[in-house]
Amino acid sequence: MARVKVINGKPVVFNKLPEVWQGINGHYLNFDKMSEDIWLENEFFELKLPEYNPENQKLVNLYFNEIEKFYTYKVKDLEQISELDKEKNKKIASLRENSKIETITNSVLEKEIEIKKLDTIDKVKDFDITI
Amino acid sequence: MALTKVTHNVLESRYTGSSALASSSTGVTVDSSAANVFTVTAGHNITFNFTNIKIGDVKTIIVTGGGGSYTLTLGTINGSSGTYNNLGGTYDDTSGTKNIIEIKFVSTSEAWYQISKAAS
Repeated sequence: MARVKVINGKPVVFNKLPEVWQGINGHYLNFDKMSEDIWLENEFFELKLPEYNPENQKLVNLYFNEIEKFYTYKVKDLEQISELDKEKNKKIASLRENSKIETITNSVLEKEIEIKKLDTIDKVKDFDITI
Repeated sequence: MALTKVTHNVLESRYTGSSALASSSTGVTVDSSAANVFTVTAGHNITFNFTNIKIGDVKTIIVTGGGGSYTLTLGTINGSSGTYNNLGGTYDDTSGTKNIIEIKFVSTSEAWYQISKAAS
């Protein structure tokens, strides 16, 4: 399990704990086999990965959870969002094309609003633009 | 006849002696004045606290693994926290494995050490 320790003011991720460590209460010869208490005493905090979908999300901004005393990342949506926007724009263009500019009515505008609210590409593709 | 050589048998125990240490979870004192070679079999997580260290001391600690995933810590030097520099090697607590810790005190607050094991 990965740990994080602040070194020179920056959090450093240790995918594997060091075998030897000059700690605050001694020099540990097999630090990686020490107890949780010793790791915490030396401020090696657990890194907990949040649930996320690597297909359309990524982990960013490592931060420390002060209450529960562990490090974790924030989850940020990936390009999927812009792909979704592209698909929405295509759908709205189709909607307008089918409706003719002169005949844009409230029902067209309502459909546009509905399209903008959709949250997946599949939903956008399947959206019925028939008026 | 004038004495021209310092023989082994006139040196202090700190240069010639061997001492068996008892494993303890509350800290094991390594009295530098008592011996040059120290032995212990790990039966606990051990912290070695060094006393009576003089600049230039070189000590050998032979730690036999206890097989209990025990850990080793180098603690205080003459009652104060010390800085230890690892030259190489790691401690192996496999039961019966002898770990030779050779440690050189370059001051009364700093030491360099290495851990060796018999070649298999």
